Amino acid sequence: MSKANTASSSAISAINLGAQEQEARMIRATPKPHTETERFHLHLPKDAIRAMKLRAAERGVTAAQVVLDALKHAGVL
Amino acid sequence: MNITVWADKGGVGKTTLATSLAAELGATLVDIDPQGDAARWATLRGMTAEIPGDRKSLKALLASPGFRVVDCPPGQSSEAITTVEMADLLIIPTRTGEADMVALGRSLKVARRVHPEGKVGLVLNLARDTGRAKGIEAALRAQAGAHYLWLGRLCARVGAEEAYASGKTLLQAGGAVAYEFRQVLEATRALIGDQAAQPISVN
Repeated sequence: MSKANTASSSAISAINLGAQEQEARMIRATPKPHTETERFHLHLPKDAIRAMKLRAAERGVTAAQVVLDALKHAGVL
Repeated sequence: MNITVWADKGGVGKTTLATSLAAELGATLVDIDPQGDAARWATLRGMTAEIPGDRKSLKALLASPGFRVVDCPPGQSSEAITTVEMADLLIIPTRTGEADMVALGRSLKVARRVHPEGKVGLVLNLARDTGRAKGIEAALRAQAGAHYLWLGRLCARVGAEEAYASGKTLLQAGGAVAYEFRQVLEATRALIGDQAAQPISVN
């Protein structure tokens, strides 16, 4: 195989390698989508979150569970 | 109309290409590289270059009517990605080294991701007259079409360095430098077509 042919095929492999590296980098950099509970949480005012955490502590469950229950109660879930 | 000259890799001749293209196409030169080399070249030539202060003013500038060539820094800073995103034509210069080819793959992936419908032109820059370089050029020419369009090859020549250092364009360098650059210039003109004409604003 001539130098030119070797270079030609190794160039294509290198370009593909770079594209794969970039793809992996972009996947790592993409934030995971929020769960339904997290999305709900994001739109809540801080005092509502505090109240929910208090309620969760009183009931001995997680705040997420309180949110889920509230969503179920409201018919969202 | 924004022509962006960007590559993820440094040292591939972005600024030399961007400055000559801006001057020969009659476009406004925009320098977003903190090194400021394009702006320095413009001063040497008696031209002015626009230097946006931040990302917000960069976006506003690129969204406004006008014909611009933007010289980007290497890497994937938010400014560089914004410029790629807002490019009507993205020109990626590359050299022929192994690391250059890997970086070209990254650059093409970024272009496809952030601006899937955008036109991408490839320039093989600072090429040397070796069997290896010729093989790589053949491969890049053969692959053109799906992910990029082939704009041409510029060889590493002393004349090009001297022209840049004295504020001249690659076309003004004359000889082989000018001959090769003319191919890139014509291919660029063909890609941008009539859009390069300054729009008339009556508002």
